[in-house]
Amino acid sequence: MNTPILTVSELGVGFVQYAGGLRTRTVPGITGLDLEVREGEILAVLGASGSGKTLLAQAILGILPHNAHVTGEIRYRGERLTAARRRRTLGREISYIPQSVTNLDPLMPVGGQVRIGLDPKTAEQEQRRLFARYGLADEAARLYPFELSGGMLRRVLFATGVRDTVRLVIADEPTPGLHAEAVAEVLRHLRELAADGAAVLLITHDILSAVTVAERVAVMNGGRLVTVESASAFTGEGDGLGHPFARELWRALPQNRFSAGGVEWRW
Amino acid sequence: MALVVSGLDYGHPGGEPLYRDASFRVEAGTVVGVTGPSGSGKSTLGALLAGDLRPRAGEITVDGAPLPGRGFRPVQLIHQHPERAVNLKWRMRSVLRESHAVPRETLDLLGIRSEWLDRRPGELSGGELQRFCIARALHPATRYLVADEMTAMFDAITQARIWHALIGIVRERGLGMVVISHEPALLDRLCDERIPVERLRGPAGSARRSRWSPAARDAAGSA
Repeated sequence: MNTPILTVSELGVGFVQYAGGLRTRTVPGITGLDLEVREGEILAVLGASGSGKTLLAQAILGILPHNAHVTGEIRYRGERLTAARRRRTLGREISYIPQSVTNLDPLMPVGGQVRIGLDPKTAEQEQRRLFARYGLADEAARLYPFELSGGMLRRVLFATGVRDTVRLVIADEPTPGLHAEAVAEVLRHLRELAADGAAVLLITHDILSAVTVAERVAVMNGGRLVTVESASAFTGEGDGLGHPFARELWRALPQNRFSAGGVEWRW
Repeated sequence: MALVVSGLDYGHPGGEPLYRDASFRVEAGTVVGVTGPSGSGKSTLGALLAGDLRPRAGEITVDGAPLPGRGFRPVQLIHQHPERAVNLKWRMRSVLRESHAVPRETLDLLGIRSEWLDRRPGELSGGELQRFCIARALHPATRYLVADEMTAMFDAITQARIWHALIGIVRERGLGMVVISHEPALLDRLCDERIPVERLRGPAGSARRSRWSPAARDAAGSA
């Protein structure tokens, strides 16, 4: 069996809020979450907005807001992921592919953005290689983000996130708002990363993307991981799905029953 | 009774035309889907129908009358990102009242809980906030709705819940509706008819070519 790259145990994230005067209350974000992603595996994390899936990514990357309170343990390749360890590994071994292309710097040519963090001696060469890998023309390196189409910007985002040294990729909602061909391309790139041995954590609300690309699908609801299902169980009426919430999600798709919480579509 | 678009011309300032001599109609009581890839001008069409943008030429009429230039707009637009459509500093009660006194019955149909009324937009999830935007759009004088990727940001259950409630209200009131989406399965469920946005480009050969599209760049390079 492949070695675990990321192990999350009993993770809790809460937010401290002022409830009038000096009284504080803690609003729970994530409660008691356990998961593991292994080398070469894509694990999808599915959930509604507000289910805590982006908090999970932020907790792993150590970029939660200041009022967040984290409990439990996050291990990367067997060792606790501390602040010092994050400094050494983020961007080199742990890569983050953000949701929106607006995460690119609008005032910097895209080639330069891909070269950030690369060894200056070989950066130019490496950036060309990454551009070739993602089907971007060499000349595009001199262009600014506004001069590229949405699909090309997605590829640039991948090029900024991918390094030879990457062992863990966290992709946060990489597909919404894209048409079918662009989605297929994003998924193909994720599959390539896993084939190269990286562990991929794909955070999404897009069920169909999740089940085409991942082997296992973790389903979150209300800050809890309610079930981990095999991707192959998301088929037909979803009778093979173990947890009722996973079934409900699957049946709510317009291509399935389009039912909402057990209420059938009748129009 | 229909929302009628005739001879519509539009292009962004300084840009190539997006639509040329485009005509179509949305009968009251029907749901029409608009499809097309991202960046093909679907949202611009929605903004034109709602009166947020003015056409260069052509006419849009609502049940026989031209789109009013001021006052209440009988074609209401519901956006993809509800947090960009409301005042983030107001409580939801005021956000609703900005449109009209929304009857309790409508709030119930949309699954809006009364405790949400005292919250601010930042204290609601996107799906919860979108329900408020829908409630606001359902003014008694609203005749047509345009839903622009209204549920693209939501999970399947939230998406289904919102559509169950809204289509029920739309059918009951006999409203006409335009659904803009790039999700074919969703349009199959909702729509009586579909219009690919390419059909609005006008006569063949006059189709828009973005200055920034790879095709246009290649053409410029070889010229």
